[in-house]
This record gives sequence, C-alpha cells and structure tokens, in this order.
Amino acid sequence: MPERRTRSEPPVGGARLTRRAALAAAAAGAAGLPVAAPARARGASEGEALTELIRAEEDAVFVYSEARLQGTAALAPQDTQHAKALASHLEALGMPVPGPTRGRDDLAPEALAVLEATGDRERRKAAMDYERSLIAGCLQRLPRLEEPNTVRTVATVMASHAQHLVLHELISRG
Amino acid sequence: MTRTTRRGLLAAGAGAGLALAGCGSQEEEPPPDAELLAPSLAAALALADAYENAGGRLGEALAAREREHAERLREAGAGEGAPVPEAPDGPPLQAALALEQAAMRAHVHAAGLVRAPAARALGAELLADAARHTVQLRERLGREALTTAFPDGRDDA
Repeated sequence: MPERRTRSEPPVGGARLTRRAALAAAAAGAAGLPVAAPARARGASEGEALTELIRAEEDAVFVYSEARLQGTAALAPQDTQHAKALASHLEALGMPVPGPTRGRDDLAPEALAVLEATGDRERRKAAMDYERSLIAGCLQRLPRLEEPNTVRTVATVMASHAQHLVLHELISRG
Repeated sequence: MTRTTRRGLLAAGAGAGLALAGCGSQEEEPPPDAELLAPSLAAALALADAYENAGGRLGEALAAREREHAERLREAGAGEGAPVPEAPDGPPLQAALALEQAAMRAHVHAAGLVRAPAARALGAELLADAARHTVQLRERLGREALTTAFPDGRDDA
C-alpha cells in the first residue's frame, strides 16, 4: 500500500478521521475499555493498520468511480464492501472510521497515476500497478493484526485485489 | 483448552464484516501450524494433478504454480496426509475451479490461525493466487469473472 500524502482538510461531517488523529486516538486508548496497557498497544497497532487499509479502499472507490475504465464497473462497489468490512473490525476496537475520499489532493501517487494517465492503455497499466500496490499494502499490514477474523478479512481483501489485477490483465490482452 | 477474549466477544465474521457484539464466543486454542497448513498442501497437490490432467498452456502454467505452492508449504512445515479434496466429475477446468474453491477455504482458515508471521503471509499469498486462478478459469469457462468482494472459496464455483 502506498504511503499517503498528509491530509490537510478537516474531518468531513465529523466522520473523516485524519491519520494523525487516528494515531493519537489509538495511543490514548480511545476505546476507553479497561484493557491492560500491552493489550492496548497491540490494539492500537491493529487499529492503525485497519485505518490505513480503510483509507486505501476508500481511495480505490474514488479512483475507479472517476476513472471509468472499460470492464471494471464492479470494482468500486467491491472496494466499498471492503471498506465496510474493515470498518466493522475497526469499530470493534472502539476506534473511529475514516470517511470516503472526496478529492484527488490526498491520493497516493499510485492512485493518482490511474486518474492522470492519458489513453486507455496507459490508464489500464496504471490500474494494474495500483492493484499491485493495494495487494502489497494488505500483505505488509498482516503482521500487525491480531484477531483471526480480522486477518481473514484482510487476506480476502488482498485476494480480491489479486482478482482485480488479473481482470485488468485479461482485458488488456483483449 | 479454550479462552475468551474481549475482542473475541466482538469478533467480526471473516468476509462478511459483521460485528457480533454481544454474542459471546469462545476461541479454541488452534492446532499447530503444521496441522493448520496441511489442508492447503493437500489442496495444492490435488490442483497440480488436476491441472496436469487438464493440459494446455493454462493447465501447464497453473500446474507448475501449484507445485510451487506445495513446495513453499512444505518449506513452511505443512504436514502431509490431510484429506485430499475431491474434484467433481465434469470438464477438467470446471473440476479445477471447484478444487480452487476448496484450496481457498483451506488457505483462509489457516491464515487466520497460524502463529508464525511467515506462515500467515504464505496463507494470504496462496489465497490471493488461488483467487487469481479462479478468475482465469471463469474467463475460460465463459463465466462472470468477479463473483464476490471476499473470495474465500465459499461463493459459487
């Protein structure tokens, strides 16, 4: 998963959580549950990872809604489902859930490249690179997860992006 | 041996993403990693055979890929002798698709429970690879490529 640019806008509708705020909330034990300090630290790491993954999925929803690549109408709805499933795990940790991506300003370079590519072929190639970055992002965050069902959800999200990648490959081959 | 954790009580269903707050659950101590990975190894070996029987460029490529999966699983300590998933009768690629679904169920189960970080990553990578294969097979079979946002082997083959 690519590193994101720093978000500068304030939370939208009280729902959008900045990365910094998420980290601060996690560090402060925002869940407010009487857990031991080491457990809270572990939960914070998992929550941070989930927050990053949700942001990435929301970005993907935005990218595919804007890109209008032929044969990929299912991708934005599937990425929306990913974000919702990941959000249920984050909510179980008592942490706030990031809201939808509303503009290009904070997109990671791999995401922005899809929208800035000119021509179907270049845009398709950028989308394949983007899916690879989403797969890598899931894989990199697996060690920070604790709960078996959270691990499984992230693994299936990663598998879904692998399917999106092969779909792009099949379409590009005609 | 069982234990109950705070977040076990809030465990969300894999894939469905449904929080089960308020429904108490107990987590059984999982078996050793070797045992958890054994069904993945059995599935990979069955798939290698199925793809060899299917033949053709796709069959040969995927058979090689499954042999590679089996090798990685053995290196990770996967046990031998788990029940081999049965391929249904019918066209070879249709049978392979059903086996891929079985493999995905094995991979996702293992990924959630194995203790070694490398084994967790391996389970997730094998799941992703199996998910890729299902799209390739569905494309060859003239079916819709994407059938679920959470490919875990439980959707219709």
